[in-house]
Amino acid sequence: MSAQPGVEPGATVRLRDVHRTFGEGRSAVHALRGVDLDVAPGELVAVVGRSGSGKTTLLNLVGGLDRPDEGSVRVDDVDVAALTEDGQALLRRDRVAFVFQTFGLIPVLTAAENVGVPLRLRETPVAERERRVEMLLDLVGLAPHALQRPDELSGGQQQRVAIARALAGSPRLLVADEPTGQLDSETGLAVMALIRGVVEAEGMTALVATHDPVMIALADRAVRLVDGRLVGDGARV
Amino acid sequence: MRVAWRRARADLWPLLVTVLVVALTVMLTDAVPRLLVARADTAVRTAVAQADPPTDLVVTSLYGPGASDPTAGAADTTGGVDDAARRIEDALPPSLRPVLGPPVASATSIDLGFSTPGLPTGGVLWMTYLWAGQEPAVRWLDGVAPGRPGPDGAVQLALSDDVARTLGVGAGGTFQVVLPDHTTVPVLVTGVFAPQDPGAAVWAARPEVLRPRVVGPRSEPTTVVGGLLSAASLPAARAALEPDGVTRRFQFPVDPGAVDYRSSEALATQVAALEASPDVLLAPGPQPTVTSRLDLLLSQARQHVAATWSQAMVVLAGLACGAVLVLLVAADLLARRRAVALRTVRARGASLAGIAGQAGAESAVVVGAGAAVGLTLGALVAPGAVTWPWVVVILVVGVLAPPATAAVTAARSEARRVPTDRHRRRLAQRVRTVRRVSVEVALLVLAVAALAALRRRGALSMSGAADLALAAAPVLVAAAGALLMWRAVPPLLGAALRFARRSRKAGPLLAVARARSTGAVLPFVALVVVTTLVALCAALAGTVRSGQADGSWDGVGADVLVRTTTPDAALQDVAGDLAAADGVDAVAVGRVQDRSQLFDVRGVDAVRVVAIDPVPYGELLARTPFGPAPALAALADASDGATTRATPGPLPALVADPLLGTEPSLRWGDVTIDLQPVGRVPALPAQRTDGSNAGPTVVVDRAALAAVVRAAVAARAAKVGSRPVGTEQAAVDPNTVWAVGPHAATAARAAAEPVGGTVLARTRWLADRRSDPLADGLLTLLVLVAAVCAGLAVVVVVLDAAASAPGRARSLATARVLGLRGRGTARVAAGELLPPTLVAALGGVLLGVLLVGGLVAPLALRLVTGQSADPSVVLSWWAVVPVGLLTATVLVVVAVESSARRRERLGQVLRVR
Repeated sequence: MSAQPGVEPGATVRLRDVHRTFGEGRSAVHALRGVDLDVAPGELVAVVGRSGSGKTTLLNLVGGLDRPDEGSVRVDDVDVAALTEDGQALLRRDRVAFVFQTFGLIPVLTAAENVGVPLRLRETPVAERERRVEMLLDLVGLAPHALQRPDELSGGQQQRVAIARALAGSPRLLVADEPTGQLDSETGLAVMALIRGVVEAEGMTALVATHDPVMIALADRAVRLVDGRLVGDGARV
Repeated sequence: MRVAWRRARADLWPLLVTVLVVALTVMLTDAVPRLLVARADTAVRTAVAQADPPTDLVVTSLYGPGASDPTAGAADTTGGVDDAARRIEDALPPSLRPVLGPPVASATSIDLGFSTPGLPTGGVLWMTYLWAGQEPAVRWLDGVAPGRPGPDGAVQLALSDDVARTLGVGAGGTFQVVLPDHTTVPVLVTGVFAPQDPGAAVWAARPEVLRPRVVGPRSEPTTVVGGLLSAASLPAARAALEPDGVTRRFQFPVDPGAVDYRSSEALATQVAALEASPDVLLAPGPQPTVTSRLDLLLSQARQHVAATWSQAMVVLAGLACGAVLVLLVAADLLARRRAVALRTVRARGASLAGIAGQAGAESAVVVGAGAAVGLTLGALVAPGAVTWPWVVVILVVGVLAPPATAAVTAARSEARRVPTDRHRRRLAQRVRTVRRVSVEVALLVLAVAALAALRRRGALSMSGAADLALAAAPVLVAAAGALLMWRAVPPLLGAALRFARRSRKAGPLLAVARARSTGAVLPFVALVVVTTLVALCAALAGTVRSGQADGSWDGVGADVLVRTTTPDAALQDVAGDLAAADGVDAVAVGRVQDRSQLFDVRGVDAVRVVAIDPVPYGELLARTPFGPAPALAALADASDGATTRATPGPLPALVADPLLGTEPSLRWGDVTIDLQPVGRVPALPAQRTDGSNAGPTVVVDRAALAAVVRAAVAARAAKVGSRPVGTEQAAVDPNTVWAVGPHAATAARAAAEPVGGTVLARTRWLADRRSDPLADGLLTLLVLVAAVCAGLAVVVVVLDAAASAPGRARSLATARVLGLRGRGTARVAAGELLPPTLVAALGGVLLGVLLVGGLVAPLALRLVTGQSADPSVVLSWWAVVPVGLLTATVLVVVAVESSARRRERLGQVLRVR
């Protein structure tokens, strides 16, 4: 896709003049300084930049894991920053899914149980939940490992479980923070292809923070963050 | 140094908890034994001071027939009484001398009948010579002191003004006294005196010299008076009362303040030795005797102290072991918090010894600080030498546990590598299982052996440090029980997990899955053990308090009891007065005779005979916890014929089970009577007047007993052709009156005054028992240890929650990212922490109660409650406090964690693996 930031009406994600600072005084770190960004529905946007450039902060604000100091963050026209803690939790439960570099699986649950957590949070009927979990594990090629715990799976398998879990609740927005950061190149490639595939298949919007050129190449477009500011015009970089 | 300080500061609260635990437990285990010794001294002194009758050492000696000379002067008395008292005092064993006060000597006649103008119906006179370093100081109101007999040959005697007034005889007056063989002796009253100090100890030897005493029923009162002999007049009295009409008594009062627990055993032994061999005291006359209740009383007091000591040792052992477990949990938490640093240091090449050394240095400082605080507080509470055994155990574990867990944690990075080969993996797993099972079985065997030894030997046999294992038996059982319970937790959680998996919701699954994977055996065992101790202390305290109340019925038998040292027909009047008084619901009068001989096919038994009027006594029992006694009605029916019996025959009796169907006979006074068992003895007060167990009891109808005894005496007289003599007159005079009712105690005090009987109110008995220094001290200790153990339980829950907090925080953060709301995370955290805590708390309470049930007898609680039999277990409400307290603790922990979670940024939490 070749959408221009800020011009697409009805964009799924819209950030306006977003600032976020950590700490105070001389030790203050300005993670984001006036970021404006629009992401259209179904678009996969790669967020690139060096370590400490503000990628994760940007994703956290979009996903409702953090609040901006200034500016507005809207997802599906909902002002994320204005939501209460529980409101943000509901937003995450119903519209946003996450994939983390560290996978973020719950170690005491099996792969299938991990995938089923978002469905349990929505109190999905048991039979429907089990059907969907089975389908998703099959989708990510882990059906034979459904009863294994995360520590019994490889890194790539864990990340695929995380992706399956992210898809479980049929979110409208996928937020992935360095999803291939802890994987070897071959596994990383497979995970990236999987993300690209499911985003297309499910018609969801995706924001992916990455350093990986292959991932960048798979994205509809990429935006670069430098010292907390978006640079360039938001076209492929 | 700086690194060590930084590390310590980072883990300040677990270190402070360690200091607190060490300080508290060291203080208690150090100070309590010293406090107990002090209480034991107080208990022994109180027992001696309150003994009734007193524990005086009394040497009794006769002169021997034909040893008197009416013409002998005062020198004869000085040699035979005054100097003899000094000789006996000098001959006392050195260990007894500091305990015994100066002697009061007396030389007293047998009972002499008399009648005077003031007492025409007559009375009983004792002529007595008194000496306490000198003859008692008196002021002569009329006449002079008695001297040698004059030409009339009369024995010269002085009377106190009260006695003289009662007798209607003044100075210069004469009267006759009658000896048992009906011969008469003239007496001349030479003077009437008033004591210079009526409270002087010398008068206590024969109070009737100053105040006449009336005994017997109102219809036939007998006045007992004393007349004072002088050193000069005693020889004539002796001569007039030949053979052996005068008895010398040398009475050494015991100074309670000079007795302590440590010396009590030697004192009791020494007194018993003197009673067995009175000759060593060089007392004059043939076959002197030594009597004292001191040895018996000291033995009882020592047994009481030993029981309390053992009970306290069991509780302290539990506290020390509980503290040790808590210190292990704290050490484990420290190692977990430092796991990354320890593994890093190890990876950089540090030796395990070096790592352990650093941790040991820190723990030595921490435990040293705690010990210093504890010992200082202990010394302030109870000054004295440190009580080392449990203190050493606590210090050693406190110092060594942190380095051990640190070394193990540092080494685990290498040791925990899982073999890739499946067979080797299984083998390693089996080795771990065998090791674990071996430890658990060993603990189980040790616990069972210790408990069996405790039950077999009884806690009274505990004597010192060698018996620490015996004292720790309950805590070993608690630990073994905790391990068994721990084995039951996984199946329980497994079942819960299966249920949670079928649920629609995420919370139950998360909570149970985490509870299943994070539970650790050590905190669980520690929690069960300290909770068991709380329940044990609560159940012991409840049992003791309830047992004391039961013991008051056992000891008194009614709301109030009036007792005379010798049977007194006047008690019948006391009973009549009581029955007529307001607020008295039932009254019974009877004769209680301990240590009577009972003959049956098995031999001779010492039994207590309770001779009562069955109907009123049954009505009285029905108003007490002993309850209705139908057997008494059966006794009354069976005794109907016996009350009018003129010829010898069997006496209906209620007897103990083994005697039913037999034909026993009873020695009563100087006759033997056959018993006819007609039923089983009902539940009765089971104590003697001295508090000891009365043993087997025979209950008979008092009127029937009198009739049977009369018939037996008459039959014997007829057989030998003489006049009936012996026990027929006072055979069944009562010595006890029981009464129940709200105002019975007050009424009894008024009614008993004329007979000088001892009034024992049940409420007084109970108050005395509860204020007893040992019982009171034990209850205080139980409450204190229960409170400390409850505190330790809270500490264990907090430490355990802290150990699992990082994993919980990470799982809950993930769940929150996925959409779990704040209240949901708190529920998940509570669901993870509460079930094992509740299982441990409830299990601990159950174990504590079961343990008390098994320990009531070996701990000899009856000696604290004052019961004859072991008390029934009664659970205090605060036995279940740990369940509520620990639930509240978990909820507070969850609330604190939730509050901390609200401050953390979810995105950051999930960036770090």
